[in-house]
Amino acid sequence: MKGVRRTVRSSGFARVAFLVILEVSLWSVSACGDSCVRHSDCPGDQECVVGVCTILASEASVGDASQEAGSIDGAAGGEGGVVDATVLVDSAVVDSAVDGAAGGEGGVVDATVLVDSAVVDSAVDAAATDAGLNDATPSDASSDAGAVDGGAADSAAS
Amino acid sequence: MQFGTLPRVFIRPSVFVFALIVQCMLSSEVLAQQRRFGVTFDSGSGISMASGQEDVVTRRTPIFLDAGVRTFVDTRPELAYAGALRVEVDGRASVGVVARVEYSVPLTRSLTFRPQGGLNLFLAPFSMFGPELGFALRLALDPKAALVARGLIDGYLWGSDVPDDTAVVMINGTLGLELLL
Repeated sequence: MKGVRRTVRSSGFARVAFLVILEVSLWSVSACGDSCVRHSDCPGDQECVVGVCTILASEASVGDASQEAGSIDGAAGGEGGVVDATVLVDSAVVDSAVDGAAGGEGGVVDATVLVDSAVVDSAVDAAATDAGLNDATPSDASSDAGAVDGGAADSAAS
Repeated sequence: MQFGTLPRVFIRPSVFVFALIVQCMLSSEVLAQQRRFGVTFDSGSGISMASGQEDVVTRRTPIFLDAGVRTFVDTRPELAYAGALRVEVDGRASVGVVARVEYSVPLTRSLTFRPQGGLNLFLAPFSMFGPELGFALRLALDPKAALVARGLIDGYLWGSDVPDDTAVVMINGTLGLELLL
């Protein structure tokens, strides 16, 4: 009788122990990914913000953000002039745009990218002056960058 | 020299006996108050929680190892002070210290229940600081050795590893050995 009781108790204990181990395992599996509790849960260049590992804003380096946009055409007035300007582009926006638009087709990534209008304005002004185009409309350039190819796509893809 | 109305013949023995009693009390107190030391080795893990974007985010607590010292006075063995060096070894390497007070309540001849409270401080490579509450169950294996299981609730409120606008709460369990020196 004692042996039976002991067996029943031990099987109950084993069941509880198994459930605890299973729960802990599931927790550790669900821990994979971006969820975090402490900053040290995240990779070195990220920190924990409201439970998600996030790239530090201050570390989104200017080198990454100031990608050469290559040619911005059409928007400069449709004159066929090429504005070769270095434009500060938000790398996160480019990343998402490239992810969405690029399908391995190569060449042109046709995506609307938000760019700093002031920088574009000055760049377009300078380029238009050089090209002798006085009717360039810088404001258009800031709203729709048209095709972004070359440098931006390469940098983002890398 | 007069000592009230007591005859001199009673005074000398009374003073002598009184002095003897005081001396016995003092010496017994001094002799009995011997500080004892023990060492502890624990390993633990559990669940870590912090508030997320919508609800509470949980992760498994990195496995940690504690190596500590425990001390108490023979006349009050139920009250002990303990300190431990804590090292996280799972996915990161960090070093901290734990200081706690334990109160022992014997349950059976070999089993003791110990409510405990203290402070945790992680020092490197990040900092984290907060209180710790919990209990321990001590199972004596030998007069000088025991198996100790602990249930701990740690709250980390300050430090470079604690995200902004939240606190990190851990519910951990440890298992270890305690050796009386």
